[in-house]
Amino acid sequence: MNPLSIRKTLAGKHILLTGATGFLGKFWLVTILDLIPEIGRVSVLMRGKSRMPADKRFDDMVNHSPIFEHLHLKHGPELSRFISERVDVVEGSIDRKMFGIAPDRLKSLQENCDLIINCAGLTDFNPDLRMSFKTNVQGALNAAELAQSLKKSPQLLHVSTCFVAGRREGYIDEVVVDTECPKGLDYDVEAEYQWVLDSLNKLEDSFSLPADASSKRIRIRDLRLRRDSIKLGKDRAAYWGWPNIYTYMKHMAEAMLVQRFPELSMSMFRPAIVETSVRYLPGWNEGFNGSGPFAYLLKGWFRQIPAAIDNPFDIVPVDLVCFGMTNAAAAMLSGRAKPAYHCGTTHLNRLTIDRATELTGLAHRTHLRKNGRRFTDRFLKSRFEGIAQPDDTVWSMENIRDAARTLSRSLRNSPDWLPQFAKDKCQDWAYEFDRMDRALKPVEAMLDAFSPFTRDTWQVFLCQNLKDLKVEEPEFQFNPDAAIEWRDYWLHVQMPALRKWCFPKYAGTEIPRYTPEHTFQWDASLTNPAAASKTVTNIVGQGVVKQ
Amino acid sequence: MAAYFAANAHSISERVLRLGSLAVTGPLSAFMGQNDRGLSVRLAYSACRGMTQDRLLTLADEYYENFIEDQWLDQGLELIQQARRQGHRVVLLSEGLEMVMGRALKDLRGVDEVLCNRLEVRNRRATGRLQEPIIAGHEACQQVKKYAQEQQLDLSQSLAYATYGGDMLLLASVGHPCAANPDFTLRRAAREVDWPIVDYNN
Repeated sequence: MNPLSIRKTLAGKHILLTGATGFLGKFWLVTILDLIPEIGRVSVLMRGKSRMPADKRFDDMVNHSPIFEHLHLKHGPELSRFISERVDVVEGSIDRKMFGIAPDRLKSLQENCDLIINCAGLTDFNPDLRMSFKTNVQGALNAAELAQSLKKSPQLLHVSTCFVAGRREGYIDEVVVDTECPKGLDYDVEAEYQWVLDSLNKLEDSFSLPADASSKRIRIRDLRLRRDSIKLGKDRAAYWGWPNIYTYMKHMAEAMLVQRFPELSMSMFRPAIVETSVRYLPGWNEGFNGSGPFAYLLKGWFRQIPAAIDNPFDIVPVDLVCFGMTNAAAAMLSGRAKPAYHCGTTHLNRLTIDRATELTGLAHRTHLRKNGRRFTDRFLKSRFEGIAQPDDTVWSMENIRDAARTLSRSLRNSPDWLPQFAKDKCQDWAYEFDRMDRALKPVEAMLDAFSPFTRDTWQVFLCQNLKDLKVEEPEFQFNPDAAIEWRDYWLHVQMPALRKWCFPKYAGTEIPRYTPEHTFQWDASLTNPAAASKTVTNIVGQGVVKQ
Repeated sequence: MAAYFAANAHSISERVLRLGSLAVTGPLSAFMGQNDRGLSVRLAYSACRGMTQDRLLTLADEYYENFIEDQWLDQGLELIQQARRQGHRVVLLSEGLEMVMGRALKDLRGVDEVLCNRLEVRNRRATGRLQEPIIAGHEACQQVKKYAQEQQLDLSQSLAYATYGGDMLLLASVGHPCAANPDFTLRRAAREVDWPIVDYNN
């Protein structure tokens, strides 16, 4: 098959994008605006908030998210016009029928839109099941329903995740498995969908309060409801063989889509763990749930990462994901799409968890030796690196916490014959051990959440479909084998980006907001209905394509 | 160099083991080095066996920055520039590892090539063996002769600067040897055979 021209395929096309405020959605929007300015239109679905309508939220995002700096520098005062001619902001919400879009806008979208890219999703591993169900499952169904109503070409590119495979081991094919769960049991997704709905309703009913309940009682009720909802989701996911609520819900979305919309042209786009950009606008990261928490944990005195040696650790830079997503979109628009695309690196350029752990340790070592504020940081902590620990070790988090609790109990029950000052000291130390135990609880929870990916499950996600999709423009070719040399990437791109963009968030501090020289303001009046035909004419006029 | 790598292995227990093995092989290495420097160098780098290439490259950068980068002597650098001006091809010979000494090529203007030792790496881990050819003692001299043959260089017209007694064969194989900051053994030999001696410490 001839290579696909991404620019020619997307020129003049109208795409509706959800999830544009997220890490991946934002980067993809910048990529398209920068590298394919001949795109016809990107309609960005955004929720308005009580104090900020959707268009103002969009302005705020473009003006303050550092990823837009490149466009600000490139276009300067012309950025408002440039973006407004190519982007329109559509107020709506993923969890509503037809996204809750106003009727006149909806009609225009249905007449003009070529493709919907559903990039919206809740990526927390174990959130409130109600939120995950609403966003990740019902949101996907709403996207499909809207896609089906498109008059020009009903098409949907649904952004999912590789990890819908759950605890299935081995080489994972690019197929949609809708009638079987990871444990190999028969799986009726419609029945499961109803089970989740019924269970959540029952749970909410069990926590109902009288109308005159105090705000304190309501707050307590909400906390308990959330806690029980999370437990419900985690237990159910584990029952079927998914490691967490996120992967369970994402799989449900895929299975529901193929079963409820068999005639709709759609593809599942499944990225792995999305991390720092490597080739295009290198050094950008905003992810919260990737390798960042691990790297942050290893920054301190904590060392033992539960990991199986040689276990694949599928990290993929966000720019390669965006190129892959763009290529998949172009394939859909050209009628060449495959049912599913994996977008990872373990197939073509494998990184293992033990290697990632050592590289993280080396990065911290180099950073502390040069920038450590104290002598102990530069000389001691720099040499105290994280280790991938395959077996149950005496230094496991569970053992450390047990030891802390045991010591605390012993110190609180100090013998009577001790002098008073010694007893007081014992109480102080007991308090410190309690504090340590409380501080380690979320760490243990985090390690448990990651252990399916680092230790328990050996998976390689085959990326044959993206690899085989040859494109004319070399900058868009999905080639993690050529684009990434892992040591260089981890030490000089990934870790500095995590330090700059992600560690402050974990520490509870703000990252500096970007302030452009020229303030961007989206101008709804700059609609460009003729832009599509004009742009295509320009390309034709330059002799690129004779139509 | 091998001791630095061993002392900075991944885990504490690994550091203890590797340093321990160096402590055992060290005296043997020093003894053997009197007659067979190549064996001594091989023994030393065997302590790197099993270390990942990622770690070795990082430690190599550190070693270079901590122990070599600021240690180039001005007079030595001037000698290199002088050789360049005279139209010589300048080759740096070192018992160190390529991952460390390779940076000298970037830092030292005027050096055309660095001949040094390379650790064998398989599946991203050092095997503990050095790849042939080994650059140490008599073997270094053999390599220089082979290099000269390949590059069609006349060693009788070449200059060589060396510091250690183990480099006597190398100095003897060129037309213009020079003992630079020589150790006791080389200084005595240089005096006996009337080789020029250069002392500088800036």
